[in-house]
Amino acid sequence: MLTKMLLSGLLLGGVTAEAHDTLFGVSTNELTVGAPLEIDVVGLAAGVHPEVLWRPLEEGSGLRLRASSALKFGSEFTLLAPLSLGLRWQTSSKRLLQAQFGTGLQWKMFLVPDSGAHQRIDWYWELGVNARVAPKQRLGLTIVPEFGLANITAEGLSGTFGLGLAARVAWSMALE
Amino acid sequence: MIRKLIFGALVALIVAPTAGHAHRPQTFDADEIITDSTISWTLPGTFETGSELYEFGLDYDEPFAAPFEIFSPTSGGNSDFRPRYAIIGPGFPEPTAEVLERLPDGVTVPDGAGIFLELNEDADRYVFFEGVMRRVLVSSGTTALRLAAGQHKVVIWSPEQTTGRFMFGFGVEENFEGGGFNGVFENWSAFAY
Repeated sequence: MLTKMLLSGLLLGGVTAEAHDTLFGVSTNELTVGAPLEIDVVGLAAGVHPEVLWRPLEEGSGLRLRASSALKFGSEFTLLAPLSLGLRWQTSSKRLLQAQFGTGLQWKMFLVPDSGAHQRIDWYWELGVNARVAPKQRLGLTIVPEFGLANITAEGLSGTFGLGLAARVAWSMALE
Repeated sequence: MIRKLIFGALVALIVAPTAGHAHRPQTFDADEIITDSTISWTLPGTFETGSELYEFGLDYDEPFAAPFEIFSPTSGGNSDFRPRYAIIGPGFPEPTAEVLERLPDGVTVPDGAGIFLELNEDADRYVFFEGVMRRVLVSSGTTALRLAAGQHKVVIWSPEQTTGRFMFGFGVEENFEGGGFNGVFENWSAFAY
């Protein structure tokens, strides 16, 4: 459901925002979509990391719920992150410059040739800044440290440890 | 109410406890390469000319069993590299003339010592994803060895002076006390890419 919402929001968000007041039961006034390009500097890989942000509290609140997916390509593996869920706090969107800070969990699949898919759950952090480039659009840069928490195997979850660091250049648009 | 539940679930997931499984990183230029033979280590190295010889010592007060393997990182066209290693010490089979011939120049076997020799020649080597630094490595294969009490020497070399990068991994206990990750950050390019 969340993945559908994410993909639909990214593909149709700009259109449906004009035509409807809600998207999957959520007011479009509360949604922002983003289409970041991201580079992993631990395990070099680059790709896209589209996201949907939902403002669950009153207008003017800086808190957002975040859902995203990622697909990145590296020389040793392809990294598919089907779903990330997290929280993001950001300063007022009325300002030209906006700071943001977030954290959450990400389901990752490292697709390794001749070795299969290595799945795990990472804990990510976000520290970023963006600037308004149009009335509803922003362009920003975010640094994303990541820590592996648990491997997902046929036997279930098992504790693990992993490092990660990504740099993200993000365009976003509020569906107001 | 639903929104509060979603918040609660996210917070609970984020603070969930975890555990780790990893080798302790170390480099060959350390003053003391292996400070504790009972814990798990990984050591990276590069054969720039192919004639280098890497070695370190292990000392056990009592017999100790541990897995050993040597990896080739696959990045940069290094996946065909097949470095070799030998463990020289008490309790291993006495070396035959053929084994001694395969050792690199300058490596000697003390009286009473034996050798475990890994030629890394298996046609199909398994691919290992190392999740801490997100590396993909090709392994010689994990070999569990019983090391007798006493001093051992591990030597790593490249056959026919081929060049390439390797990571040697061995040991059992996971232990990162006393700056166990310092080696990673101080030698970032050796462990990450």
